[in-house]
Amino acid sequence: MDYLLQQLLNGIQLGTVYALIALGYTMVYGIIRLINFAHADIFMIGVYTSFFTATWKKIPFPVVIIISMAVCAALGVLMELLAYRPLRHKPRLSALITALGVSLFLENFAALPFIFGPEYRNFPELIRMKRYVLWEAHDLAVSNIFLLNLGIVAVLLLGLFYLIHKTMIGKQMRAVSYDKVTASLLGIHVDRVVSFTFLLGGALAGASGMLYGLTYRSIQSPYLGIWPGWKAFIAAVIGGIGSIPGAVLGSYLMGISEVYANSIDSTLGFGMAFVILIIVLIVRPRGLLGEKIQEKI
Amino acid sequence: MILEIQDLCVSYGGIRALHGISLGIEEGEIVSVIGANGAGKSTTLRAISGLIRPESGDIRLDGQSLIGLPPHAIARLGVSHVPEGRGIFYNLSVMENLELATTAQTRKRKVRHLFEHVFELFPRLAERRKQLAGTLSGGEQQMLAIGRGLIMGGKIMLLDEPSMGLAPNLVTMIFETILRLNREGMTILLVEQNAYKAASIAHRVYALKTGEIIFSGSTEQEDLDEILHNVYLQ
Repeated sequence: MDYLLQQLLNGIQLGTVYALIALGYTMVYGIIRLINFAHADIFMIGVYTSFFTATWKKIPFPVVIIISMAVCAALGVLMELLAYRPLRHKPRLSALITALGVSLFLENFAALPFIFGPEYRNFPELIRMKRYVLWEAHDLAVSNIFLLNLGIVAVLLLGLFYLIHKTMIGKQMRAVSYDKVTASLLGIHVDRVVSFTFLLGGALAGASGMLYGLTYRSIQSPYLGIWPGWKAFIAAVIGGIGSIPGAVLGSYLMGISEVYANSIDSTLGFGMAFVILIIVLIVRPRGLLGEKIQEKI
Repeated sequence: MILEIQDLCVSYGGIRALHGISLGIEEGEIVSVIGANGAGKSTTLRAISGLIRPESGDIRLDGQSLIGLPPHAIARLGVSHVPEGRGIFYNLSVMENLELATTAQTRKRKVRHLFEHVFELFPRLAERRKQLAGTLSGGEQQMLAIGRGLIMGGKIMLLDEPSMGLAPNLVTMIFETILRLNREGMTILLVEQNAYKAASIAHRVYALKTGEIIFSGSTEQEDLDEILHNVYLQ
């Protein structure tokens, strides 16, 4: 019982990393119906950006996360501009294949010896870890880093919900995701809204990269984005791709079940993602919170 | 001439939809374009708002050519296009649908007044402003589409089949609204399959058949019968 509770907290921790990545997948899909496979590598760039800014000089933690978010946001915008925009009116498969290409490019470019190099690195200890005992009798404890993670995610999610529901650009995003042609007839600059979506997705992936480094403190190689990326993508599909609350729900579900599966046997974690995916797709093909496609004529 | 189209040719994938049509609208007019399905009515409107690029010809708004401009720029120049099928964002509330139309509005100070005007014109929208637009009836959706067009605050409103799929009493209501907007000074280019009604409220009519204008001018009842015979039956 004690063990299970502690693992629940670890699962929430992992879900937090997934959630910030999954939001990027789901927002971009929602707006241009593209699965941006290179999104996982934006996350990777976020990890490295945080690493280099944190080791370069003793830059305080809040500045590191802002730099990481800014770099990744810029990368997202640039990626859309150079790789996807020229293919906007081509068959969707072209953009999808391009996304795979962009992903491979970023990973292998970053692995070049004069860029990031392929070697393993230790993420610096930006914040000294402290343990807070929650429940003495059951030996349940949380770390300050865990709380920081939750706090940052809460702020980012609230900010995102506010942006999407209350601001003009958010309303424009929802309109463009529903019907680009009518949106353009109302004077909405569709390309700019698409750019903004990539900017948001990139910024969240940058924050996730920072938190990943801070929490797990290891940087395996420039290919480190692949697995978290896949799992976040699966989380977005489980939650219902295109749905923002769905991506968050799916991510926590994924993080928690992965940690539990790993605690039974450390090889089960990877498989767990796919087991849940298959079950959800059989029972609810649109995902847990996926929108019903229902049109009135 | 507020809007002037000259020798407009449009093709879809090699098939010509408009064979060099020319038409013009004076400020304060209602001009109706009538014709059978596939005659090129919607194509004309889509070319004006930049949704399709014409092969040749010119479209001028207040003397400025619109050719090559993207749709959002044309909307901001003052073309309020209320599209066929209404183009309502079902996932947004009624109010949000209306708010989005302010993107095209260049005189932001006028916006409040325009919202009041829309709610006065369509009290039903005011009652339902917080509701998701997807839950509105067909007639209410058409009101919302026209309301959005008004809030855009353009110099000319393009209405594509506003009566489509509506019950007869709502059709009458929509046409009365169009007349009222015109009396308030709005210039209107109306495309309709409901030719009698469209002709009856218009100052002038253009009849399109397979991408060509076969009649233009004002109509009397007897003329209209003959034109319609040509448009639909020959």
